[in-house]
Amino acid sequence: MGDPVLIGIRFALYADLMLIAGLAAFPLYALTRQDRARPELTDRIWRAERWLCAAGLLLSALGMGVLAASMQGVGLLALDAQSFQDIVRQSDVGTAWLYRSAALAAALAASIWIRRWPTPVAALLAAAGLVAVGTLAWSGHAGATEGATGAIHRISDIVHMAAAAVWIGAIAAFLLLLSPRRGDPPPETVAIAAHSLDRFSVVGTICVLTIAGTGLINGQMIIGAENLGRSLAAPYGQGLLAKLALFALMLALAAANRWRLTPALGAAVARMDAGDDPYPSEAIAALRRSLIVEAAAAFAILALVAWFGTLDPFGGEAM
Amino acid sequence: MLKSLLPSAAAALALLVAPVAASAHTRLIASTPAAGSTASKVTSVSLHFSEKLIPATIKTSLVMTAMPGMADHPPMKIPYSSAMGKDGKSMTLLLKRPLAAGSYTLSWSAAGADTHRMGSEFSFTVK
Repeated sequence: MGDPVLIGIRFALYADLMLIAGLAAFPLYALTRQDRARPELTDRIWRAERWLCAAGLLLSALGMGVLAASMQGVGLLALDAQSFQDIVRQSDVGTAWLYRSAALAAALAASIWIRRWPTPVAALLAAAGLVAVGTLAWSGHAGATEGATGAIHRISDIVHMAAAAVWIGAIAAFLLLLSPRRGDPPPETVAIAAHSLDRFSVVGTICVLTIAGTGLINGQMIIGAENLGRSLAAPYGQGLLAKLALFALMLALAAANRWRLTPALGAAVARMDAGDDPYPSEAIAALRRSLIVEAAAAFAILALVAWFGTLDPFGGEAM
Repeated sequence: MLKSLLPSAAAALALLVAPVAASAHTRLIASTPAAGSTASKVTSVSLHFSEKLIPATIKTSLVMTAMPGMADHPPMKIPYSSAMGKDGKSMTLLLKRPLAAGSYTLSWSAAGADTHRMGSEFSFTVK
């Protein structure tokens, strides 16, 4: 079992950075240019972005401090500035942290102008978010693989996390669009949400295929098909199995959203527009429930990864 | 053309994604004097590791644990200066004076690229 503080920070960072990238990407592919500029649709997303960027900077700095202290074999408070600097300079993890901090600082600065230029700033936020997510590849198993194999492993890991970020960001964006915080979302917002759910189906399919493909490559790199049995006997393999089960649950929910709940919402919106039916509260509530479970599964996956990513795949040495 | 290329491409891919036994934790793989050995005229101790180490994380200590006529005395610190090897995987402790006859224990700990702090210790004898 690794250090719980380090694992907690890893989880928070995965979630935070993936949301930055995924939430910023959402309006770019799921909303039209006009809709992107409408505050009632995107204000919540932009506000979330700012908090996420600020939190990401703090979390990332805290995480680097805790990691440097554990690499030094001392407590966080016993870590001095000089050895922190040395570790940042000498290690790949440190270099990755510098890039991550720069990307997050740029994103935070850019988010000030997001209302004025929504499209370019959202693109910049998505790009900076993806850079920040990508740097996390150096904090897992992919960071320790050397040579050409290491490069392939890291690229595969980065693509895996980027696809996950887009998926998780979309779930969060739909929840924000359909959030009942200040009364039910207005009919127009619901209609736009129904449209963007439709548009997401292509992006979502690409994400799922990418996640599955790169996941297989990563699994082969870390465990290898022929060692599968040996790893399943260790906590790492069991964590991976739980992750796959949660992924299957997310797939089932996504399929239900795509083929059942989204068409139902679309039909309800059409009936409402035609004046046949009142506000589609039930269709919205069903979709929201499914999205909440999907989001919970996604966060559970991130928590699992934050934990078993620090373990030896075959339960070798204790960490 | 494509058909003839496919098998070699597949083989290359299989090679590239062959599992690399990701347990890349840093281990001590060799040392002079070797663990458990008896040596004489020791003026330096060299350590060879399985992975590159992050220099800022390395901690080593060399203590004398016994000398002729005095078995098991409290550990006495031996002064030395240390230098990293060019490959980043080895390190040499340059002793201020050649080691006197007795038993010594060297312990090390450090983190490699995988950020896990590892360490071990070993003993040797000087006659």
